[in-house]
Amino acid sequence: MAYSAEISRTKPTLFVFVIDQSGSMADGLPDQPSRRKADAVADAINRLLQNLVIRCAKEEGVRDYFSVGVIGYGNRVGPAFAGSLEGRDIVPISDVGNMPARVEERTKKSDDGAGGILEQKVKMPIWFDPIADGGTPMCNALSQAQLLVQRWLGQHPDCFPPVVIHITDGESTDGDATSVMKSLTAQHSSDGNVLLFNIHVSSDSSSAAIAFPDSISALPNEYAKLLFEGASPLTYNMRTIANSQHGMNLGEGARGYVFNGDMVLVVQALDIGTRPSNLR
Amino acid sequence: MRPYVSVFSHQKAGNSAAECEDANWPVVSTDEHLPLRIAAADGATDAVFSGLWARILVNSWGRKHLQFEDFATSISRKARVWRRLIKNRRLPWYVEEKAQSGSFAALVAVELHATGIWKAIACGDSCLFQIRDRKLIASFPISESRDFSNSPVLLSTSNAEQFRSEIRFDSGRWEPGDHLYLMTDALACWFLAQCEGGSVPWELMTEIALSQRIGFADWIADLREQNQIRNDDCTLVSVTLE
Repeated sequence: MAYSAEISRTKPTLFVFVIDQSGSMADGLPDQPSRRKADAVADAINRLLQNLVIRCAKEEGVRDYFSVGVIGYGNRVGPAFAGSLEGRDIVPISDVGNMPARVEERTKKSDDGAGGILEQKVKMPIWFDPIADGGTPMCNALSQAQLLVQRWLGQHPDCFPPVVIHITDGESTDGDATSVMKSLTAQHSSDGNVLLFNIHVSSDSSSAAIAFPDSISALPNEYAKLLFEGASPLTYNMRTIANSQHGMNLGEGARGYVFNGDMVLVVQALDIGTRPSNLR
Repeated sequence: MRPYVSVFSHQKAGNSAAECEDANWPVVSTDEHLPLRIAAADGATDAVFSGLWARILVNSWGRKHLQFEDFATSISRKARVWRRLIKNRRLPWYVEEKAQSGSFAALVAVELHATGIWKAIACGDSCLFQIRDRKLIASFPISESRDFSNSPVLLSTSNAEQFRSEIRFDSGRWEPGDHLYLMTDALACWFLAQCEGGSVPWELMTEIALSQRIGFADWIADLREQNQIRNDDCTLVSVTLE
C-alpha cells in the first residue's frame, strides 16, 4: 500500500516549503489589515519548524526522522533559512533544532479558566524571516524544489514520499507552472509519488475560502484551477487527520489545495501535510 | 506452585538497546511465589522520557504502589515522581517544551493469587493472553488484531481525566498447566493475527520462554524481515504455571 513506509532515522523523509516572497506579500491580511501576509506566513513556518523539531525530540536530542528544505521566491529564488543555516538547501531536523537564527520571546495569551486572560512568556525560535519584494517566479522556485526532491529520492529510494508545501498569494510571473508541478509530482519513491500542496493565502475578504476541494467546479478562476490540478490527492492518513483533528469532512478525491485561505486554514494545511502517522 | 516467569525485550530496528521504551516486571526471569504481580508497559514514541514513565509504572505495580482501587489517582501520584525526576535536568529548548506536554505509556498489569484467581488492569494496547489446553481462553484488553491503531489512549503524566474512562479491568481463573503472556502492542497484534489465521503462536513462545534454543531477538528480527510484525519495541512476559 502506498504512503505506508515507516519514517525512522534509517528511513527519513523530506519536507520542502516553497514560500512566495513577492512584493504583494507586504499587503495586509483581510481580517487583520495591520498584519502583513509575509509576517503571518513567516510566523506559521517558524511555528511549524518548531513543531517538527519537537515532534522528533527525545530526551537525548532530536532524531533525524525528517530533513527540511525552505525555498523562498521573490526578488531572488533560493534557500531561505536565516542565521547559521543560511544557504543550506536540505537540512536534517536535528540541525534545524540546534541552529535557530535566534530565539525570540513572545507573549502567549490564553484563557485562565476564571474568565480572565493569562499572559505567558514563551520562547519562539526563528529560522525564516519575512520578505516581501519583487515578482512571483513560481516556475523557477518549483523547479528548484524538484531538484532537491530528485536528489533526495536518489539517496532515499524507499522513503515515505517527500511532501512539498507551496504557499503563495499571487499568480506566477515566469510562466505557467503546470508542467513543473506535473514533473514534481511524477517523481516517486517505492512508497508513492511526491505529494504537493498548493496553499493560496487570502487576499480577498469578499470570497469564501475553499479547503481541500475534490473537484474544480467550485473554483472561481483559471488560476485556482491550475493550482488545484497541480496539487496531489490527500493520502488516507492526511484525510483522517483533517477529519478527526480539524473537524473537516473530506472524501477520497480531496486534494492538497486551499483557495483564499486565512491563517487558521494555512496552519491547518501545514499540520495536515506534515503529519504522517508512521513515525518509528 | 512456583510460577516461572521469563521476560524478553527487543528494541526496534535502528535503535540501540538503551533507546527501548518498553518496560516489564519482573525485570529479569525468575522463579516466583504466589501472589505474583507482573506487568508490561510501552512508552510512547512521540513523547520524551516515556521509557522512564514506562519503568515507573511497572516498578510501581511490582512493588504494590499501584492498586486496583482508585487506580487513576495513584497513577497521578506516580506522575509527580516522573516530573520530579526530570525537573532539575538541563534540557535543550525542544525537550523542555515537549516535556511540558507530559509523557505517555500503555500498561497491562496482572495479579495472580494462590486461590486460582487472576485480576488484570490495562490502559492502551499492551495485552494479556491466557492459554489452556492449547486454546486461547482470555485476551485482554484487545481481542482482535484489527483493533490495534496508531493512537490508543495511554496513561499520561499530565492529566488523569484523559485516561480515567479508558482503564479496563478483567479477571479470571488460572489452573496448573496454564500459560499467561503479556505483550506490548506490535507483538500482541502479530499474536492475535496468527490466532485468527488458525496458527498456535504460543507453542513457539513456550519454546522461547523455556529453552535457550531460540533467541527472542533473532526471532523478532526474522518476523520483521518477513514483514510479519511492525518495527516497534517488543516485550514478552511469560508465566508458566506448572
